[in-house]
Amino acid sequence: LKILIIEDEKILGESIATYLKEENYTCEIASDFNSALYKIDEHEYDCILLDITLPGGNGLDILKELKANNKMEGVLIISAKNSVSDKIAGLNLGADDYLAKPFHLSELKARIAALIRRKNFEGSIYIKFNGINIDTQAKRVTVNDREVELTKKEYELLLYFISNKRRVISKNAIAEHLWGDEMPGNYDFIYTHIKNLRKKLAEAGDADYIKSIYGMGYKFTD
Amino acid sequence: MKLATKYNRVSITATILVVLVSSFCYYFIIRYALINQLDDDLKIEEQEVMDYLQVHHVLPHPSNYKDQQVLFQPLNNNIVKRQFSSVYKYDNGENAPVRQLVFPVTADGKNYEVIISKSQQETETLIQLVLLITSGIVILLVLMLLIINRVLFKKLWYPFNSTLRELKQFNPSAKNDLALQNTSINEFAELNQAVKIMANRVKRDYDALKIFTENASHEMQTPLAIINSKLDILIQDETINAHQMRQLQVIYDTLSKLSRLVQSLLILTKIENQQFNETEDIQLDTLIQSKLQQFEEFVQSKNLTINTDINPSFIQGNKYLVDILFSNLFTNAIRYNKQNGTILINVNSGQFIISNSSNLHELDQQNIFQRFYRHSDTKEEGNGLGLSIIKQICDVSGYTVSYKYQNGLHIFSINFQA
Repeated sequence: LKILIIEDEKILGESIATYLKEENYTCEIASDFNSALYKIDEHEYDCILLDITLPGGNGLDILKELKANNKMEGVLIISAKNSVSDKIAGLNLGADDYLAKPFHLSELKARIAALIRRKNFEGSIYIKFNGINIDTQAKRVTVNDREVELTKKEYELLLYFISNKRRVISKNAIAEHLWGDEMPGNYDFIYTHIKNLRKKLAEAGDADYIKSIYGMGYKFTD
Repeated sequence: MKLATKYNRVSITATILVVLVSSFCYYFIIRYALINQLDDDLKIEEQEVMDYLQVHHVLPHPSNYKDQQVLFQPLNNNIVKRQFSSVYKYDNGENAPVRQLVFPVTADGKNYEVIISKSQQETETLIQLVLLITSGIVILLVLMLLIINRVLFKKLWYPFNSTLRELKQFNPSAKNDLALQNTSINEFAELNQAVKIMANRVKRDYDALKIFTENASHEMQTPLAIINSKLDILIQDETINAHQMRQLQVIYDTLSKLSRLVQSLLILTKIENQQFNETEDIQLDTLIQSKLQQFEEFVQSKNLTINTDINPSFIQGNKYLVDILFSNLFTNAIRYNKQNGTILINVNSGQFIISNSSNLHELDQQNIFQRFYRHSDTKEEGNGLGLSIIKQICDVSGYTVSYKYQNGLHIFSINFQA
C-alpha cells in the first residue's frame, strides 16, 4: 500500500513514515505544496495524509486538484488548526477523515486502516489476525470460526489493537481513542476492558495476544 | 450624591438666603418710605395748624376724621418736645396702629400740646400686601429654579449619561463600535473623543491578544505533535526497561495535559471570535443521556450515584458548543466529586441543573469563571479553563450560568431562555 505524507514539518513526516513502514505500507513524503502536486500527478496512492497549512499553498487546493483529476485516493487531513470550518470544508472537498494535531501515531494508523478498508471494497471489510476474523461491516468477531460477543468498547479496542499489531500502544493513546479528549479522572479501568477482551478471546480458544508493557501500554502480538 | 442634587442644594440655599435678606431690607425700606410719607402728611397738618394760629391767634377747632385727628391739650407746666411716634390707639373696640406728631404751641399765652394722629392701618395693610406678593414671587422663583434645574440638568447631562450607558455595556470582544451621541457641548464632545480613543485601544489590544493566543496555540500544535510521535516511536524500542518506561509515562501524561490546555485555549479564542454562529434545535434530554453513557465508566470507577429528573426539552444552540458545554459540566461534576459521591441532574424546559458532592468547599463566586481559577484545595488535574469555557459558551449562546453551594452540593444551573 502506497501512502503519501504531505507535511511541511519534516520530523513529523519522518516519524509518521517510520511508524507506518511495516508490512506492506510504503511511504513517500512531500513537504511543500508544489512537490505534493507533482507527486499526486505522477503517482497513484492508496492514501494521502494532508496537512492544510503548507509552504507554497493551501492543502485544500490539493484536494480540489485531486477531485478535478478524478483521483480515488483516500485523503486524511492532519491539521494543527482543528477548526470546524476547515474540517467541514475538507470533508466537503472529498477528504475522508480529519485528525487534529497533536495525535498519537497509533490513532493515525487506525484511521488510515479504516480509511483503506472503506476505500477498497474487494473483501477488505474483513480483518484477519491468526485465528481472529473481524467483519468490520457487521461488526462481528469470530475466533477459530466461533463467534465472540464483544461489548462496543471491547470491539473498538480489538480493532485498534489489530490496526497497530506488533506495536506498543500507550495507555494514553488507548484512552483517547475510546473516550476522546474529555476524561474526568484516571482511566485505570482500561485494564478491566483489556482483561475482559483477553478472557473472551481465550475462551474462544485463541492464544493470548495482548502483552502488557511495564504498565505503560500494551502490545498486540503473536 | 448626584451632581444635580448637590448643585440644587447650593443654589437653592443661596437663593433662599438672598431672598430672605432682601425681603428684610425690602420690608424696612418700604416701611421707612411709607412712614416717611405719613410723617410728611403730619408735617403739612402741623404747618396748617401753625398757619392758622399765626393768622387767627387762636387754636383751630380740633378735628376728628376717620383717619386723621387733631387734638389740643393744655399743657400745664409740662414741657413737650416735638416728636413723631408710632402708637396703638384704642378705637372702636380694637387697637389700631397710629402715627402721631406731638408738638407744643402757644396760643393766648397758654401752652398747648398738639397731637396730630393719622391711621397707620393702611400703611400696615400695604406693607403686608407687598410682603405677601414678594413671598409669593420667592416661592414661585424657587419652584421654577428647581424645575428648570431638573429639566435642564437632565437635558444637559443626557450626552454624558448616554456615554456612561455605552461604557457600562462596553465589550472588547463585540464587533460593533461604541454608539456615542453627538453633542454640541464641548466638554462632553471631548469626553466622547477620549472614550472613543480608549475603547479603540482596548479593542485593538484585545484583538492582538486574541490573535496572539490563537496563533500561539496553533504554533504549539505541531511541536506537540512531533513530541507525541517521537514518544510513540520511542516506546517501540524493546531495550527500554521498566524504570525508563515509567519516566516516559510521565512525559506522556504531561504531554496530554499540555495538549488539552492548548486545545482549551484554542476553543476559548474561537468562541470569542464567534466562529460558531450556526444554531439549530438540539434535543437536550437525548444529549444528556448520551453524555451519561460517554462518562459511564468514570462514574462507575468513583462509585458515584446519579439521580436524574430528565424531561424532554429542546434548546437552540450551536451543536459543537453545546456538546462542549455539557462535556465540561459533566467532567467537572465527576472530576471534583468524591468517592461514593452523588450527582443530581435536572432537566426542565429551559433549564438544566447539575449538582455534585465534593470534598471541596464552596467555590469563590467572584472568580469561578476566571481563566485558570482553581479552588485552593484542588488536587485534581483540571486545567482551570473548563468553567471559563462554560461561561463563554453561555455568553455567546444567550444562556445564563449560575453557581451556588447548598447542603454540601456544588450546583450549576444553565438557563436557556435569555
